Amino acid sequence: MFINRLILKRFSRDIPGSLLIMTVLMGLWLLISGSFDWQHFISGIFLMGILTLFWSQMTLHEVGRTRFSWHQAKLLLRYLFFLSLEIFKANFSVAYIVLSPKMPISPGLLVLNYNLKKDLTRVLYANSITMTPGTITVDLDGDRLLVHGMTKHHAFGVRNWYLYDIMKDIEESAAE
Amino acid sequence: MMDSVMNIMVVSLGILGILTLYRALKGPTAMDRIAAMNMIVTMVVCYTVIFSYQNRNYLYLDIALVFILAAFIGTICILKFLREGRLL
Amino acid sequence: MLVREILAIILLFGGLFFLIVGVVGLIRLPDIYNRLHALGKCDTMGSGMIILGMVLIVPGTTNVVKLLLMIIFTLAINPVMTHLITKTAYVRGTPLSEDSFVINAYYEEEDDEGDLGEGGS
Repeated sequence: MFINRLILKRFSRDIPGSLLIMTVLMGLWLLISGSFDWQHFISGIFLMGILTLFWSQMTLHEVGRTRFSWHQAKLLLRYLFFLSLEIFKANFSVAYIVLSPKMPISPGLLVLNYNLKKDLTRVLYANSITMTPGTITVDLDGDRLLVHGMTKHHAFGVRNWYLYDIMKDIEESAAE
Repeated sequence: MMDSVMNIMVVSLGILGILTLYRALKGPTAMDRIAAMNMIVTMVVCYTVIFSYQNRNYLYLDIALVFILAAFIGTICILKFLREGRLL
Repeated sequence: MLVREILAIILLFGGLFFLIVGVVGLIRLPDIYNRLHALGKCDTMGSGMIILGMVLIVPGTTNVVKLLLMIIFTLAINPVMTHLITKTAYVRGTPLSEDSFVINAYYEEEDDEGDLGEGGS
């Protein structure tokens, strides 16, 4: 049976992960519906079970078993803190460039190499390049990264970037 | 005080939307028009949030929340059609 | 007058300032890649600050949760959208503006002024 195989895949191989997904979805459901009756609890548990089953079909063949380590969470929080600082600086530099009457831009494309294996870290790194000063990720291809910079100074700032080292640490701590 | 601030916000969001329409009309490529449309979507979301506060009717927040996701899917469809020439 | 409302007014006008910067950049900058710089950053910051200002004055936990979800969706969606528009422009061969540089640093050579190497699609 199809349903039977799905239940076996999700709940027998990855109990902590499915419980985590169910708890997060349940909290979101209770917060958005805004009421804490027992009807909401029962219908929420029913719906979240179905949603967790459907989730397994999308993610389980890549993720496997859910692992969690405090070291990785600490690194991720540090990364997000520095990322928000960089976003704040980026907005002011773009505002300065746009509002100054001469527009001191020298745009161009830059090909970089980078070495991240997992899909999630690659997506996070490309998105954080897009959000930070004067650079946009144009294309990802293997271990090459095509970056468009607004000025030459901003584009070369990506080459030895300190957020890349933190992201590299996160990925290496996950590989163990 | 808050009501006058909200009125100022609404009027300036409208002026910004009209200025963005200039780029949508004049833009040389299709991507300029998509970028201008994206900007207008952001302004409509901000305006919906402010409108729900002005009328004290907070069901409009749901509309804003769904509008973000629907605009995202629509833009992805247009961009995939432009890049590959087909949708499916 | 509450401190909360003053903070909300400051955040609202800050967000309006960044939206104005985004629109001015969208009108003034020379080509599509540069316009997307203004869109992808100032748009996210502007709408995020406006919604964060509304979080401070909207009553009820349900509405606050909805507004925070809107901020999270905006933060997740806007860089992806910017990247997709830029990639589509690059794949379709939209020309760069004049006097823009193209540098291939893939082979670890300092300031190699080579060609791009067809990273497309």
